[in-house]
Amino acid sequence: MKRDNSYFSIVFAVLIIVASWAYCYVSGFGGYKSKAADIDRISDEVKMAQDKYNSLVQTKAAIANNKDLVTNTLVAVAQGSDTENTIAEIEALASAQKLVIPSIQISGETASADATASSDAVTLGFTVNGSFEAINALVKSIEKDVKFMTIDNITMSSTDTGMSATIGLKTYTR
Amino acid sequence: MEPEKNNGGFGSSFGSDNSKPNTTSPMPIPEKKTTSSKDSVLEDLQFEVSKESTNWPVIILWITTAFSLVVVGGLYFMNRSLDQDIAAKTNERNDVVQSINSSDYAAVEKQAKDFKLAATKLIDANNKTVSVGTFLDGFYLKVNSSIQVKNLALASDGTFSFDGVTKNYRSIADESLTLMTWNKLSGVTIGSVSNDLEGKNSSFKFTISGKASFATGEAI
Repeated sequence: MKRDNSYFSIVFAVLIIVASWAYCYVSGFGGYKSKAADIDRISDEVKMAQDKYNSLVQTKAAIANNKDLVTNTLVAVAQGSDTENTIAEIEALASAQKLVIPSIQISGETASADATASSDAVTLGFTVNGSFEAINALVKSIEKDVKFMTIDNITMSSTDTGMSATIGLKTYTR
Repeated sequence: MEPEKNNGGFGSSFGSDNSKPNTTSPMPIPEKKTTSSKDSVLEDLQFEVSKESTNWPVIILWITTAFSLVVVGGLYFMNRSLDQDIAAKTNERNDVVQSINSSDYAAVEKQAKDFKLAATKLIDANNKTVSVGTFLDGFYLKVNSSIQVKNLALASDGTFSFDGVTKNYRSIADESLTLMTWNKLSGVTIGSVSNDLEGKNSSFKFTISGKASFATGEAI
């Protein structure tokens, strides 16, 4: 009877040992390593998220401190082609110099290399007649306008009544 | 039967010589077993061997078992601790991500990206373009009074050419020299000159070309 108890206890102990090491092998060590790796990965993600959050907080403060600059820049380079507003703006600038624009040709949109932008620029062309001073003033007002425009080319010719200027300009979009 | 004395070693009963008289001890010599059978001696020996051999292996076995249980327990609690750490870190990450994705910061991020894109285009275009207004102001001052400008063309890269009319070759040369002294221009050349006779008055047509290089707001 005593011998049976000994065998039972030995078998029980061996079973415990086998089960213990099976646990250690299957989930103990493996699980520990896997979870430790998970913690490292999540810690990195937390750090990246925290960095981005801090960056956004700083950006928000910088935008608030430079509100006019940001607003003017976003108006200068409008989203999308914004051709309608560009035409209205040019007409207003010409009217301010008492110049009449008979027609405006919209040459088209230049595709952007940046895939995120809808287009890079819109090219327009028009002709005005008037004095050299008036045309020069129109050119300057175009270059200083809140809407960013660059004069691609200008051709001025003298006429019997003054000067005629053909202006090709480019507006930029984002 | 008097039990055999255990002298402490595994199977030590096999090596002890009980037949020798003990000269130092006054204890009486145990009676010689004369009545035991061979089987009963073997049984006793088995019992002794069994008693001695089961002690240490079983103890070692149980120590190993206990050690295994301690290791398993330790691993279990370490894993549990890691689970708690993972849960805490995941919550922390989710909180920060939630803050980033809030409408407030999403708008800030979009505005910052738009501003960066717009500013890049502004700077790039501004660096590539000549200020036409500044050029016209300077050109107006550099045209001599004897010159009548007929055509003027300027491209965004600064290349310009103008056709003019004057009364003599000397005026053309003077105009060319005047433009050459303007440090914002380069490559000023007289392209063509022709004497156009119309009745009693003769006029001289010419073309001058070159390249201007200055930015918006730059002094003439």
